[in-house]
Parts: sequence; structure tokens; C-alpha cells
Amino acid sequence: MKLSPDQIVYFKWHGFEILNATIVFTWVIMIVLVVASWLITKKITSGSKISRWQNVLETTVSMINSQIYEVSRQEPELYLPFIGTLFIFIFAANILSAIPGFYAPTASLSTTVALALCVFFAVPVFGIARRGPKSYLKSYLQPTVLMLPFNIIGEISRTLALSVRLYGNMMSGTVIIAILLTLVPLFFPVVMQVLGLVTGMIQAYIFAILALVYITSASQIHQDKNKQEGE
Amino acid sequence: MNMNWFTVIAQIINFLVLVYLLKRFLYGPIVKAMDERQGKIEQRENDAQEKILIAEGRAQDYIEKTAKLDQEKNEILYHTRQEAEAEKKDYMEKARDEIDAQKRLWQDSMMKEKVQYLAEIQRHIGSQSYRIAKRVLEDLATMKLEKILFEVFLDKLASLEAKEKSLISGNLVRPSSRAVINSAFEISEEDKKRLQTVIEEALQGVEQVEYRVSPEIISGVQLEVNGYHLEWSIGEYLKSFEERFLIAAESENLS
Repeated sequence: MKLSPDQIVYFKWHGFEILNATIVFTWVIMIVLVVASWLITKKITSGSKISRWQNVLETTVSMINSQIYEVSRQEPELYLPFIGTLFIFIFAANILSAIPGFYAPTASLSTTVALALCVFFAVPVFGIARRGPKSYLKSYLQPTVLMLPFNIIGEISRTLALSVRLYGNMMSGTVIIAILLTLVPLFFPVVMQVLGLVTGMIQAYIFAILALVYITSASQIHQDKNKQEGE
Repeated sequence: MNMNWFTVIAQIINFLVLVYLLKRFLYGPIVKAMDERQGKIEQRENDAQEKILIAEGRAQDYIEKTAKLDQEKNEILYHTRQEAEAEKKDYMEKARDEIDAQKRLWQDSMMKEKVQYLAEIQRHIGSQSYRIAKRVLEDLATMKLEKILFEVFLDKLASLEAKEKSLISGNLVRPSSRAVINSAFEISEEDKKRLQTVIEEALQGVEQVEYRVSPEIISGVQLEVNGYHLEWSIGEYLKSFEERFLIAAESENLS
């Protein structure tokens, strides 16, 4: 039994796996999302009469924006592309997994690790972008210099936790369905499939929100500090 | 739980590419459209606000103008009313004056007419009574009465006071004047002589005496010397009675 789409290899070059199901289905998702976005935004209008699909996109974007604002209390423009893409990609991958023959890339540890690494690097990138390198690096010495190793460990461990959480949930869904198929071949897996869709949505939301919290917490300190300075 | 580092790197790249593509095709246009719509709505709201302000301003203007017009109207009305009142008063006064004048004129003319009428009546009554008296006296005037009248005249002439005598004499233009004796009846020669003697005695300077019979002197004798009259007759009494009657009647009417 193949637990990860990484194990399905389509193309090898000199004994090196180049094209596996994870990458292929990621591309599929990318193509679907980009083409759909392009098609919808091609006829976009700023008038009061808008198409149904534009309405869906606008609702999604403003929902993400409001979530970002609620968590960070900052203007959402800077975070929207990164956090929004995280959510939409994971959401799309988990929803599309309901299609038979579709392997959710998120069920691969490689994908979740890749996403977690993106968040890992995004934290200092956004932090430095907002507060400057000096101020950002100083935050690792808070509240005392002694805390530096713990801060670094915390940074790494939460990235690890983030990736493993998503991977575990996605993979477990697939594994549970596989096991149940052998035990109760009819009907029950359908219920599990539906449950899997719900967990997929929740996971997408959790992953995006956690990433947002990590990233904005780096800027939050900056704001607090500014406030103190102001006082 | 296996992990392929090549796949991890590929997925990182894939994800970053996806971020870029979605930013390019999804967030960019959508956010832009939403911002534009927001802008339009704000613009509309601002426009509406501006229009409301303008409308409120205009409404305020109209209210003020209406109030001003009302005030002007009231002022004009007040002035006009006052003018009308004054004019009315004026006209009323004029009318009253005219009426008073007319009334006075009318009263005057009425009074005049009344007086004239009364005077006419009185004159008529007077002359009628005079005529009646004259008639009666004429009928009564016999020789005996004439004789008595002549005697009375002689007495009166003889008893003239010195003052009156000198007044008559003073009136004489010439020393030798002529005296005229008018009588209602023929005076006898004897009486003429007696009269001559009395006149010469009373009025010095009278040389000639002329005798005339005039019937309008009712039962009496009249002496006329250069415009001076001395008369004793019933006609004279009647005349003076008539005069007094008229005067008395007129003064009574006027009061």
C-alpha cells in the first residue's frame, strides 16, 4: 500500500525520481487555480453588477482579508498573497482528493514540509520586511539573551509541528479510507470521504491561520515596542 | 513516513510560483476591482454628502428668503394699511368738513329763507295791521277828530323844548325859510292863523308857511322845515309801531 503520492513515480532519469504524483498533481491544482482565476478575472468589473464567479472570488478574498485583519490587526495587503495561497492550495488539494484517482499533494510529507519550510522562511522575511533586520533579530534575544536558543528551537519546532500536523491529517484520511475499504467495502468509506472533506477544509484553515499567527507575531512585537516607545 | 528532498524543493518552487501566479491573476485584479468599487462608493457617498450639503444650504437660503419676503410683505402691508388709514382719515375729515360746510350753507340759507319768510310774514302782518288801522282811522277821521289832532299838534309845537327849537332853527339854511305843513285834512283859515303865530313864536326865521293836503298822513299834521320833520299823526304812530314790530320779530327769529 502506497501511503504517499511521492511513491508513485512517473518519470526517472538516471535512477533519480524526477516526476512523481505529488509534483504532477500539484501542477494540476496550479493549472486549475490559475486558469479559473484568469477566466474569472478576465471579465472582472468594478461596477455594481458582477458575475456569480467574481462574487465567489471577491467573497473568498474579502473573507481571507478579514481573517488576516482579525488575527494580526494589521492591513492585510502584505500577507494576502502568501496566506491566501496557502489556504487556497491546501483547500483545493483536499477538496479535489474526493475525485477518484486524484492524489492530494498534501498527503505527501514532502509537500507539507515544503509548505512548512515556506512558512519558516516567511516569518523572518516578513518580519525583516516590516521591521528591518536589526529589530527583527533582536526579538530572538527577548526577554533575555539566555532565551536565544529556546527561541530558535521554538521557531524550528513549530515549523516541524506545522508540517507534521498537516501531513498526518491528510495521510491518515487516506490511510483510514484504505483500511476501511478492506474491512467494510460498501457505504462506510463514503461517510469517511465526507468526513475527509471536512477535515481537509479545517486543516487548510488551521494551517493558514497558524502560518499567519507565526508571521504576524514577528511584526506584533514590533508594534508593541513602537507603542512602548510612543508612551 | 518517507520524505523526498527533491520533491520538497520542487514543491517549494511550485508553491512560490503559485503564489506569484495567484497574485498576478487572482488577488491583484480582485483587490483592484474591490478597491475601485469601494472608491466609487465613497465617491458616490461624498457626492451625495456634497449634494445634501448644497441642498441644505439652498433650503436654508430659501427659508431665509421666505422669511425676508414675509417680513417685507408685512412691512409693506403695515405701511399700506397705515397710509390707507391716514388717507381714510383725511378723506373722512374732508368729507366731514364738506358736509359741515354744506350743512352750514344749508342752515344759513334755511335761516335766511326762514328769516326772509318770517320777515315777509311780519311785514305782511305789519302792513296788514297798519292798513287795517289806517282804514279804521280813516273811517273814524271826522272833523271832530281832526280838530283834536290839530290841537294836539299845536300843543306839541308850542311845548317844544328850547334845545329842539334851536336845533330846528340851526338847520335853517337861510334866515327866511319856508315851512311846509302837510295835513290829512284841510285846515281852516282860523287854525292857519293860530298855527302861523305858534310857528313864528317857536321857530324864529320862518317867514312863509305853505299848506298841503296829503291823504297818506292818516289823521295828523306834519311840519317840515328844511328836512326837519315834526309830525303828530296816527300814521306816524302806526309807522313807528310797524317798525318796532318788525324789529322785535326779527330779533326773536334770530335768537
